Amino acid sequence: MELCDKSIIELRQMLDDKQISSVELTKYYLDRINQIDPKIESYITVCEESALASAAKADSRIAKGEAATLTGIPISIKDNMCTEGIRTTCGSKILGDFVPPYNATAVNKLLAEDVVILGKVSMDEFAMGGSTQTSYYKKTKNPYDLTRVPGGSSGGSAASVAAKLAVAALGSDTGGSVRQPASFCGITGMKPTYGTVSRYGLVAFASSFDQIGPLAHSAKDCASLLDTISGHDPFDGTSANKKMNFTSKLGQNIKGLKLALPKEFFEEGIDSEVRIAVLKAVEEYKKMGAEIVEVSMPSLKYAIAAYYLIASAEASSNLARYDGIKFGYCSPSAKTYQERIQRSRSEGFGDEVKRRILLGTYALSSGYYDAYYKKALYVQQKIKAEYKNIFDTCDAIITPTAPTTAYKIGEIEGDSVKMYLADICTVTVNIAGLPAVSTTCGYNAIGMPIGMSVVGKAFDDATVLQIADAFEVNFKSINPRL
Amino acid sequence: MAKYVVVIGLEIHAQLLTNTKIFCSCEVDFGGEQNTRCCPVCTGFPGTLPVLNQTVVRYAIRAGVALNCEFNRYSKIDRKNYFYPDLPKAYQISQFDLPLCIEGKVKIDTGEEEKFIRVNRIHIEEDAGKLVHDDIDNISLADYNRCGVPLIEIVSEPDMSSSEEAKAYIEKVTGLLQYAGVSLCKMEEGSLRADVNVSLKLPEATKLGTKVEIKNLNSLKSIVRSIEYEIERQTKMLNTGEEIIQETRRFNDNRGVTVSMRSKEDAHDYRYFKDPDIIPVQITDEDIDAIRKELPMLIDERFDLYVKEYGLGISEAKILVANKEISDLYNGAISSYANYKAVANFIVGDLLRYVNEGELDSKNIPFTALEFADLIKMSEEEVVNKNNAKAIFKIMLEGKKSPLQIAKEEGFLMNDSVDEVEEVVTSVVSEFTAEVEGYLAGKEKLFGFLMGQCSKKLAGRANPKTIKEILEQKLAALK
Amino acid sequence: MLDTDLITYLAKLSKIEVNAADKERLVTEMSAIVELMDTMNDVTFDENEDLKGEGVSLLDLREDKPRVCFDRDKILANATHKKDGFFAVPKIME
Repeated sequence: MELCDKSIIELRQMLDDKQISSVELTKYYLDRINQIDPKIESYITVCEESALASAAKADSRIAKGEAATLTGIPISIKDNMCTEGIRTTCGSKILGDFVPPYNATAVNKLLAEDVVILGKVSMDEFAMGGSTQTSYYKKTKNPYDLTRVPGGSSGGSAASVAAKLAVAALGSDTGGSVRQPASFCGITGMKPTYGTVSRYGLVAFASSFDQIGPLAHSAKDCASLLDTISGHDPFDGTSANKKMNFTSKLGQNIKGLKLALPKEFFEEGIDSEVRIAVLKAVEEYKKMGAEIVEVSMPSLKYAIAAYYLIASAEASSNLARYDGIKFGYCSPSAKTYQERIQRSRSEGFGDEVKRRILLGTYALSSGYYDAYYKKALYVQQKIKAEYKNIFDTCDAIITPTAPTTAYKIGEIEGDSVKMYLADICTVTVNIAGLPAVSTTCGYNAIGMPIGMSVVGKAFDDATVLQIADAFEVNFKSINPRL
Repeated sequence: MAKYVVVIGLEIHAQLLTNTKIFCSCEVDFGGEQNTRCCPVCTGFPGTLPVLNQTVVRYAIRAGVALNCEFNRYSKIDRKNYFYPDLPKAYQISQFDLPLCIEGKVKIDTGEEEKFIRVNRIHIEEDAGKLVHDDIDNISLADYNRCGVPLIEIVSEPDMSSSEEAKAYIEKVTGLLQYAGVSLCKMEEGSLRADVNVSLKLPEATKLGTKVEIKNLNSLKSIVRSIEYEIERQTKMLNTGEEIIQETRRFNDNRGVTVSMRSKEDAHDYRYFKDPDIIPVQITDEDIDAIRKELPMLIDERFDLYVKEYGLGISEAKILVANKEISDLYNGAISSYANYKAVANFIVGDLLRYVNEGELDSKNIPFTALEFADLIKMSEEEVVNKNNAKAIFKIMLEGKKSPLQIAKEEGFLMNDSVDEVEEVVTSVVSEFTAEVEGYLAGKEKLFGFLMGQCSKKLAGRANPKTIKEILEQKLAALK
Repeated sequence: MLDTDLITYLAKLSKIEVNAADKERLVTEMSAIVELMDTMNDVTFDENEDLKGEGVSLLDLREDKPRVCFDRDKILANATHKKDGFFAVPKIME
């Protein structure tokens, strides 16, 4: 077993036992990034100097016997989380030179444990996409097959972990952007309950849905990360006032737990390979003593429309601040104020971002508000009610994470409608604010990973991780061949 | 010429007296170098989030109580989206359809009958920054210090029908907000802004006429003048059959006219929607009651008390309640010396003159209400004479000594001691023998001269009545 | 469905400059997207449907305590155009 195959718990042991230092571990990962990332293109910014400085600091802390769970562990951070003094681009030309004067709260919590930040990884522009191919900087490849997408929008996070260019990563999930790339790249990714991780410093896309979440090689590692980055934050008014413990149920027996399978998630539209793999995993849960219940979510057919209308509406407002005046790209040809803002935005934003801004503006504009935005809010209530109904009798829900495995680069990214429809398995979770983890449950005929999602009740993240972990401990995952 | 009915509505924006901004913990203060009172939140940096200030909501509720409003127990915060360089997020956080306060009313006094102006709503919102124009480099410069300063917007129903009523309404609302302690309401300093809506209609018409909004009003005088001008302008247009355009006009102070503002290039589609970063506020009856109890007695109640209970005249009472600090001083003084009329007279007759001339700052009165009461008591009980009381008051403005101290030091205390008076009268009578003889011979006027001489020698220390009595006695004895 | 006028209007509202060729393309793309949104057309709801969610109590709101402001240099550091401590934009006509 190589060093890069070790879990966080194993690395913690090795660091504390002085089998390896954080500086050595960090150098090891920096070397791998140098060697392998040119093929994968996951990192936008590698922070070699500051990473080594953090590692040295971690080592002295470890020497004093004061290490926390993540002290000295090298991780990557999606480039939409503000890192003080380090360029933060959101994968967009319009923030090409933006250096934030402050850290996101989640980043501060990592730094408080003296985690090593290896660098900022690529993403779909402003987190809008499912392929990472809309990034202005690095169009990340899937480590399992470099001709295929890693998923998105946290494709850089997922690929850097899958290719072992970081022990773990932080990503963000608005409509599936942590879970879907985790599933495409054969790793574990979790979106926690809305409000458990502060959004302060996470560049906003859709404020009601955005959550920061970890990507790692196991549910256990994800849980460790979440224990560190979660917690009430006075800088985030939507931050929940609940003390969470994500690791508390790991390893507990899942016998007797009721797992629901909503039939709409298993119909045509889902690749048969995917369906078969997920149902096979469900059999494993049965063997462990879980009870399987078939349920229904009739509002699923409206979910994509409701999600995109609400998300785009919020995004159209959240992205209005990018005008070239206070920060970011400023069009050099502009002479008047109107020209400056209109051209900076036109030249600085990519096509998909522009489409979503227009869609959001449309949904909110007078005359269309009731038919689109207000109706979407109503559908959101219906979806929440349907989940509540299911969770009245069940402990968790199992679905595929995505309708397919990773597709070829260039195959569908140009077609917005196709891209949107591909989110069908993930968006309802964000609409309802629930916790969900994606873990690898199989590989297709050509070896591409297949992801299964476990969805839980609000603030019952520990159970979700427990259930995913129960499957993982018996599952043999296959590394990408690099 | 048709006579039109004037319909006026007012939107007042008042800056709240909180310590911090509405959505971040930057200090709210006046002045300061540009962009030194900012943080990533109020300057709209990526990733930042608004966090609502509790005191802003409390103060808005206070204002609602003062203006006799009802309250939305569930109140939502919304985004108003538009682009302008003084708005860093390109949206203003405000309230749209569920404002904190609704359905209030304000009693105004226009000299004739009592009238109530209805308040449609009071909501909270953030202020925008300031733009300055630089003609040298032909650029505009943005200062974000003011971004995020908390405002309440008070929207009236179109219940006013003249510039006098508009003026009375603003003065009353301003007074109430000052009494409630929520805003300084100084138009010249920018803590109060008002926009006016004016329309005309024929008396028998059921529909309101086209509304014209007037902005950029920097003083009460401008408000009155702009309304007068606008009424004239619209009257002329309607009389000649010209159509009035619904628009926003700016008041030009120098020329005294309203001018059409070049229409903003944006269509005014603000696309209001609930701000997903801010959880709506849930107010309880207990919250409102507690805030109601925090408020001092307000203007109308004090006025009624002064007139009905204390027997003060209406104009006197109006003057006393116009300024909370003055009314508080009055209340404090009469709690120690309950001569309602005398204390009121002194304030109206003397104290306020100093305030109007800028020599006394009502917010920084350098003596206590008790000391003030003592002074008036001394005057009424003839411990000092009335002129000297005024002189004592002037010295009290220095804020160093009590009235009794001053009276002693200046020698103003009138003696009850008859001895000194007797002495002085005796010496004057023996000094001014010619005048005494003249008086005794029948020249009555010389009594005044002799009184004057006695008063001079006594330097105000004696009660004039006492001097007169004793002088009369002595002179009578000489007859 | 969507036409060039609407695209022009939306682009103006969202302050994104679009040329004629962009508009053509966007009409096609946005029409397809809006068609997807129209899958909600058969959803009906009561006008008075309560869409209100949870509210936060007054006491749980932020305390009115000041915090040190940021250095002006940090606030202005990312701006392309600035002068004398201000953000600078081309002159606004009023």
